[in-house]
Amino acid sequence: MNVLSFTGPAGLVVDAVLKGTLFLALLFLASPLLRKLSAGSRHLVWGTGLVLLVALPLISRVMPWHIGVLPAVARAKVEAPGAAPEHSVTAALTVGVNSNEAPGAGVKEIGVAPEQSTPGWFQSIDLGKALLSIWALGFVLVLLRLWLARRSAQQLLAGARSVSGQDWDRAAIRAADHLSLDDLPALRISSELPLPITLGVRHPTILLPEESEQWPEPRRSSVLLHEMAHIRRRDVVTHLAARLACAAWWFHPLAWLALTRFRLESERAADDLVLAAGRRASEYAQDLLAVVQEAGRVGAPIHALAMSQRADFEGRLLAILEPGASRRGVTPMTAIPLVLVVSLAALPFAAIGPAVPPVPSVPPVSVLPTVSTPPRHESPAVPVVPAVPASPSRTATSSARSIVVAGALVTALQDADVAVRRAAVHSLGQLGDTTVVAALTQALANDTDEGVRRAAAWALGQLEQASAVPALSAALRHDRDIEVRRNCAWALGQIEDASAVDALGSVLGDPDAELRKKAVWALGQIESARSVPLLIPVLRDADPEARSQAAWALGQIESKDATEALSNAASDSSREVRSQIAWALGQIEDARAVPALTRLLRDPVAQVRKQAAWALGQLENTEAVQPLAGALRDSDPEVRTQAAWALGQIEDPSVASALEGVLRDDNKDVRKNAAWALGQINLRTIPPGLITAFEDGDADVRKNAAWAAGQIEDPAAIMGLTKLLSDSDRDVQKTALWALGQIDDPRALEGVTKLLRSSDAELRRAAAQALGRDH
Amino acid sequence: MPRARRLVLGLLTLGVALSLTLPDRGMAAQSRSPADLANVQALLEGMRGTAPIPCGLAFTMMEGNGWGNRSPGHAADSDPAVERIRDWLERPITDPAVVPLLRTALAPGDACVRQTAARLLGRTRHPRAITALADALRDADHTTRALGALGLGFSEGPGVFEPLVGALRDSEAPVRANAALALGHLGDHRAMSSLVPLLKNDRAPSVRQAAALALGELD
Repeated sequence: MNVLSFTGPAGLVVDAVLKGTLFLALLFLASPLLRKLSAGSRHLVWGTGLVLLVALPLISRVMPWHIGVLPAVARAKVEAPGAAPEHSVTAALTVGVNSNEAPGAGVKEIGVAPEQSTPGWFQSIDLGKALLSIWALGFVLVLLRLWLARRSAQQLLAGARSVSGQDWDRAAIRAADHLSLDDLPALRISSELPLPITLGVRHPTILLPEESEQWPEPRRSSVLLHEMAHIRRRDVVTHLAARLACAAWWFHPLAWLALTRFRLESERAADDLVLAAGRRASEYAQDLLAVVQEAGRVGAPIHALAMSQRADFEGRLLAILEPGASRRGVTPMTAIPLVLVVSLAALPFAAIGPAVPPVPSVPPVSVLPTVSTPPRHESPAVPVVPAVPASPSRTATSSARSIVVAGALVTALQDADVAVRRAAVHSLGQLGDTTVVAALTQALANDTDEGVRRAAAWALGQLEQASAVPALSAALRHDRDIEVRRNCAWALGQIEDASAVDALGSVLGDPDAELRKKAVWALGQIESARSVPLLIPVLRDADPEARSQAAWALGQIESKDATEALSNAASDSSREVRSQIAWALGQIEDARAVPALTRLLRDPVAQVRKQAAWALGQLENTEAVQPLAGALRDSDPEVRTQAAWALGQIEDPSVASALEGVLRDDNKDVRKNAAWALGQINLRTIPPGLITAFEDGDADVRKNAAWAAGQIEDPAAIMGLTKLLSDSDRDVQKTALWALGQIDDPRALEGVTKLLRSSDAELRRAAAQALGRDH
Repeated sequence: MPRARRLVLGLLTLGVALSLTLPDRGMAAQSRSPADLANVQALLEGMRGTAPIPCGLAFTMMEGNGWGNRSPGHAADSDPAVERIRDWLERPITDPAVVPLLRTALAPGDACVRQTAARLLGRTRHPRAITALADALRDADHTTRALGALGLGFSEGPGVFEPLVGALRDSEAPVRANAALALGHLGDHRAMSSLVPLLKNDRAPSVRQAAALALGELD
């Protein structure tokens, strides 16, 4: 098969994309190194990067040197009918199968056969032209979006009125003086605008929202300083240039990410200029926060410079409040070296070929508190595996070494001595080489020694290859040694192949209980719905362990066909079986199981009741609400804990008072789950008991109560949650912060705002997150 | 004497000897070295007279290589003597002064004392102990050579691999078998080129069996 590189215009596009991707990846990878720089410097780096991104193909053309490491940017060539291959890759890899035949005849090729030319519609398409067309279409669409945004901004400007009053004039003159601006920008007010923006290149205008007329004087100063900082930095121009660069790279997510970073740094650089002009960080942060809250969810036109965008709000607040951060502006002395460094970094990419770039990691954003749900029921213990020597874990390998060893061991399977054959089989199982399956199946079928056959069955289970299923199935049915048959059942469970279901089903009535249990276990492992009718009779097996195993297997399969049989078997005399049945019904999640599980919820054995409560929580059926509410009064605390969790799962508000009652339970796990459940059940008003739980002696209970209050969003919780902000447990504090951020009431933010000045960086971050949420 | 009774007798001897002579855990944890010589002497004396099979079984059991591969820690034996033996076995002997004593104990004599000495020399993992075991591989007595191979299987470090590969060409089957098992225990894949021919061609079934088992253990 030949490969053909893209040529012509498409080749240029692919070449540019790969080089640009590498260059952007380098920028993102290097971005942690920029942290020490000021926001203005970082802005310059990202801006230079975006300009170079567009310029990279041009630089490539004029580069005097070239590093030939370009990989094959290629696609499979669709051979034209009758075209001769340029060279045959497979020609050298040939082995003769019959030396008596004429040269060239009877030679079998190893490797990939030459591709057949198949005529099809796609052959008529010039891929290069198609790619260019798609790119051009995207480019035009992005430009169109920019143009539409510009038009909407012009309309905004046309509908705006001039600012009246000497207060504004004085504030504007002061701000312009602080920032050494020669010309005062025009100030206008628009009723359609949510937040302040700056427009215009030659004659800049600051557009203010209607609410700005009620702003106190310090906030006016902050806003004007910020917007004029953009004007002084000529951010409108650079922003437009960066957007045009992104229009050309519209298909590339890294380019848009770079634009986001570029825009964010321009905002931070403007913030730095405001602070450098003498505004206090805490007051400026308050002003920023107030502007964001007034703005609500509405965004600014995309080409305008908006003072506060929600997306980067949290980071900006933290940057503003960070003491000791570099806030120096960009001077020629700092700008020239930075531009040179970035340009020099781009040069190699213009010269060399591309490779797959690493994707920058995105930090996870934690917005929800950790809520501890009750532990789920664990699967029952798997049956005891056949008594064979444990092996160190190995990965299957087909290395030359493994082949030699496997070959020697396979040969040893013919050894006259039984001990040698047993050892060889054992080692083949240890080796993990799947090429020996056939030899092991031969040993399983034909060896006269039962020890060898037992070990062979075990080894086949270790190798987990479906090709061993027929031999294992045959030995499972017919071998005269019961241990061999047991090992076969185990091995089939290990392989988990559905073709073993019939063979395993055929031994479910075997007199040997151990074999029956292993077969049931194997069927549970395979998880085939075909096993359900085979397993149901085992629920009536004489051996309680087999019945329990059957319930487990049916739970594994999760077929609703088993619901009725399991429900009928729920009155089993064995507590283990009843417990397992409850678990299985919870796994299946069929509403028809509610009556049986409700009965099991009244079982004399606490373990069974606990399991039943868990299963009813899994079903999430409202018919279970009343029985579960009754179980909140169970004598066993674990049952009560599980019942509270289950009620939280069902999310029925009618149980609020019952859950509120158990907030006074002696057991902290019960209280914890009850608090969590109250947050789950969609209440509109907070139960008084939940507010009382803010003072619970257990931190987990307080945390869950705070979380629940955040879910309910009732302002009645504000006072209690504000108190929790000074809780001794940091998790409780963070959860309370989060909860206050959820409540749509200005009073909720008072305490949160105070924590913006906390000495604890984590709490400051949580506070900023809470404030950044939609209110 | 039935096998089970001999095993119990061996265990009891080992247990009593160690419980009488070994220091307490706390003391031992701080410094074992000064007590090593006395402990080793006591252990060798305690093992004297135990039949070879119970002797080997006792060690296998204590080392956690038998009974379904449960480690001694999982055996949860309530007998403090057993626990002390286990503790003792889990810690390396650091005092090289025990090497001459153990090398002497490898010489023809009581079978269980010899086996104990070989295992302890291997566990010492001291360069001198490895040299002593390599010397034992060249001994005129074939049982000493077999014990040398056994001991080297418990050792690690330079100088272990080559003597064992050489022992695969020994004239006596037990020596070759022990060397093969020891190489498997070490897990060094370089042993493959020596073990494969052994599996194919050795005339003794016990050696071929050992080679087959060892090949399954290689990395």
